[in-house]
Amino acid sequence: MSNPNGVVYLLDDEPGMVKAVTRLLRANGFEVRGFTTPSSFLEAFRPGSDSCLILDVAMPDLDGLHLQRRLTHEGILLPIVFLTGHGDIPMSVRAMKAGAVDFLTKPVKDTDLLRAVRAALVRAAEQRETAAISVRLTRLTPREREVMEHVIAGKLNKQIAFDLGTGEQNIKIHRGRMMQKMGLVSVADLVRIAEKLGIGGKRDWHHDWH
Amino acid sequence: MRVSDNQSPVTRGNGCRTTRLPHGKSHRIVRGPRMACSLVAVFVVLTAVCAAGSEPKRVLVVHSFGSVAPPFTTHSIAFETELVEKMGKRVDLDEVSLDMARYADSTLQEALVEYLQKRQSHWQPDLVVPIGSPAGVFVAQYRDRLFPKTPILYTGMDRRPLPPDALEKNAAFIGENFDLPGFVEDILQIAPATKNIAIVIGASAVEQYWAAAFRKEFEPYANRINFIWLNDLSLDQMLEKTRALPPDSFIFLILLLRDATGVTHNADEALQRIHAVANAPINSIFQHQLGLGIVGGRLYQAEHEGIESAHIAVRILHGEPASSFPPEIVGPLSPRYDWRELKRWKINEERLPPGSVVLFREPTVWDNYGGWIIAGVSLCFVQAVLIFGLLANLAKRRLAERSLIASEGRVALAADAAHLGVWEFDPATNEVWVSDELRDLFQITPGTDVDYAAFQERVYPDDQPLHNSAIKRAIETKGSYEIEYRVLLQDGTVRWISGRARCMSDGDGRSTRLLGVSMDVTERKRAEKEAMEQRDELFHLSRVATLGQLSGSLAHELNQPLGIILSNAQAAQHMLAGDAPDIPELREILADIVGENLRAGEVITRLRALLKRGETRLLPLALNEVIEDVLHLLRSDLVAHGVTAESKLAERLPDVPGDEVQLQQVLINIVGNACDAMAENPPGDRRLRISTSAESGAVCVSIEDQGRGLPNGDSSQIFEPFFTTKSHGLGIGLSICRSIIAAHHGRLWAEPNKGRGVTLRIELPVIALAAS
Repeated sequence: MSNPNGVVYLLDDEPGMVKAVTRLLRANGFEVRGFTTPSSFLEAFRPGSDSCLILDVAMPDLDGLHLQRRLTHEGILLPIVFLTGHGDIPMSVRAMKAGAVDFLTKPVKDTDLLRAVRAALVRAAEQRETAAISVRLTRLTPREREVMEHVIAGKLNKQIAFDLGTGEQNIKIHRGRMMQKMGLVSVADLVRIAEKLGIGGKRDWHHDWH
Repeated sequence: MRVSDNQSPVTRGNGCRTTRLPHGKSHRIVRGPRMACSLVAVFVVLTAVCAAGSEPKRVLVVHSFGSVAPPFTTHSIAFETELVEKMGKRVDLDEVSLDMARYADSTLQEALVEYLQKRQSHWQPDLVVPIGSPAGVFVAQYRDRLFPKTPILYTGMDRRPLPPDALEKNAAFIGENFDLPGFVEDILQIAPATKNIAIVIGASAVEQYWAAAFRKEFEPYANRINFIWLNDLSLDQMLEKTRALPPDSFIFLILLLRDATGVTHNADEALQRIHAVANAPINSIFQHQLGLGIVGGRLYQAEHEGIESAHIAVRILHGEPASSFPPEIVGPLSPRYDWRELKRWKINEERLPPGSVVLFREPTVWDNYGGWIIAGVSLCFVQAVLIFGLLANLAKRRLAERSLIASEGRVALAADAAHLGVWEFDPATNEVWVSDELRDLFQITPGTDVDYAAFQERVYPDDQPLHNSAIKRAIETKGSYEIEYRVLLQDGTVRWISGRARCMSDGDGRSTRLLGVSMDVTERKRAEKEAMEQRDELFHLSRVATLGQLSGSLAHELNQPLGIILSNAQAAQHMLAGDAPDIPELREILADIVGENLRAGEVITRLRALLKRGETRLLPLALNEVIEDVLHLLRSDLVAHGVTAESKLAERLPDVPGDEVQLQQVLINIVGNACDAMAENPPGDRRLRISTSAESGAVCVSIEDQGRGLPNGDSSQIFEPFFTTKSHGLGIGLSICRSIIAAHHGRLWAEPNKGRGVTLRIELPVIALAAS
């Protein structure tokens, strides 16, 4: 079975549970790091690589929902799978609304847990990609950004040149630079990413300019 | 012009208030026709005749105002009274009033002059006494026409309004010299913060004179004090003004004879009316007004001056020339104050100048009746001692009488009535005498002799050692006992007996007998047992209810080990499915599974114990262990509530007799309440402290929370049945907890913490009490 690469962090105040889940995940080829206190986890956690967190809801020092909020607040995009001994519906709704990947109750079946962890790691990879593109997006000049929005809207260079009141040759240069800066080769990739980032498509630029 | 009634001065002295005040030179005077010289000659002759003969001396008093015009009338009454006192029938007193408040008109004055001239043909005075400055000015003005040779005694006035030469011709003077700035100084002395002084003064001529004089003298204070002049107002308007003066105001009443609307007033009455409504303290000039509402200061006294002037009048009438008396100024009295006004306006007595006299102090009850109080209390005390002594004596006598009766047969009567069995055991003969009632109780055949063995045989076998040892010890120690035991009747029924016995010795101490009474308490025992069963049932039900509330966290307690077991087992399955399973790892997994399985089993066992229905059994118990068990059981509940529990358990705590399950129930309940109480605190601020300590003869458990505290701060209310502050729950938890602790012979109470929250304390006695 091929699993996505990445680190699975595991936080549960019950050492026996940490041990058991670690064994289960390792037997399935995941890299697991287990913790029994939020502080030890926060100390060891390094953003960067794709990772996710299996989190117990009820812990003495800091409950899982608070930790989730805190991570979000600090801008750490870490997909979370909740695992609780005694969850209720309001609690799970809160967790899911706050962006949890899944909300599982103990005892948890191996298939449920593995599926949730895989989904979490996939989401982590996507989030990383999106974050990287967002950074690239900031490097575009305003003109390049304008050109990009027109490209996403499906316009030809000639149309863009007309809309922006410049020569087609200029547009070609801007377009080339934009694609280079975004690290993309095809317009299809650009459109897919733009959708993810929520840019373009929403406004009818053509209409706006006339 | 009005001539006042020629009343006797003595009778008038009682009824009238007299105000005498300085008067101004108020009017232009038109000179009238000069009197004929012949008339003057006649007067002189007549005067001489009167002086020489036994005829009474004639004195004409010239009043400035009517008969009720304080402060002038105060002066004139004192003068007339004293004069009559000294001269008796040798004085003939006549008077005339200018009534200057109403008739300050020069044409009227002229008419008065003519009138007086005509009068003198009939009655010529030996002395003319003008009282008050209007009268003084009038007499000085017309003296040549009216009384060219008659001596004049000017009094009741300030010297300033009089013409400078008035005293030169056969005249004497006794009057005041008002210290006008002194009045302001007196006010500032007692009320240094004063910023406004409202001046009450009328609008008559003399008042206009004085208003001008005061204005001039007050000028130096203008930068400090705002003088509010009310002289152009009616009295009603003045009352309105004084009702709402600005803060730091004082009212100064100079004189009020006639207000701006022409209404004449009695200044003393006006003062009282102002006092009734004013929002500021009042001062005035004259001593007789102290008590009518003024605060006080250096006051001028009209009465004293009246008396002094009478003395001078007597000497003049006896022949001393008026000009031989140097002008006499009667100064103000030493400062005096009205205590009630000082209190009313919160003027500190320390502000008063040295040597001040404070009048109208209200005496305390003690001042008034101190002697009576002491006498009364002493009398009551003596009476109480006597009564107590008599009662004690009586009680003693009654007691002696009673014990005598008791010793004679009351015992038998009472025993009979209460179905008490009485017995007497003689250890020397081993014989037991038993009453008929006892035979009934123990079902001993009537008529048979009873020895100790037969007596003991009736006792229920299990209770025989207790009964036997109690009797033996009583005989050995020559003491007594009180026990409850059972007797087994022949038909197999069991009867509960409450037995008491006492060892009785003869004087020499050799012969000893044991006297006992036995009572059937089977009914009571049965009721007690029933009550106890009901109580246990209640305890059980509330425990089940408590557990119901905990079910969520109990599920967690079970799910935790079950979850670990499942994950471990499935991990093992996955490992076994691989190529090279790690055997040591698999071994560990199995060990963990076994451990978790046992743990789950423990949870179930603990639950079953709590759910078990059973009677209260007090067995030696280590409270610390009970607490740790409870905290373990509640662990997930505490976590779910975000509560951190800290326990500080004393080492080497003595065991207490207790029912483990019931005490757990109490702790679960209290901890649960604490969690609920802290639910509104922010997470991380929900701390629960449990501590144990050994007190003298008891073990104490304290459960301290940081919650919202006691409702209304009332610590007893929370133990009442059906009291609850929660939306869920019946409110019987703590009430049952208290019953449980009471069944343990302990105490449960709540104390508010110093900061916030509540501490519940349980105190359980260490010494084992007889098991109930």
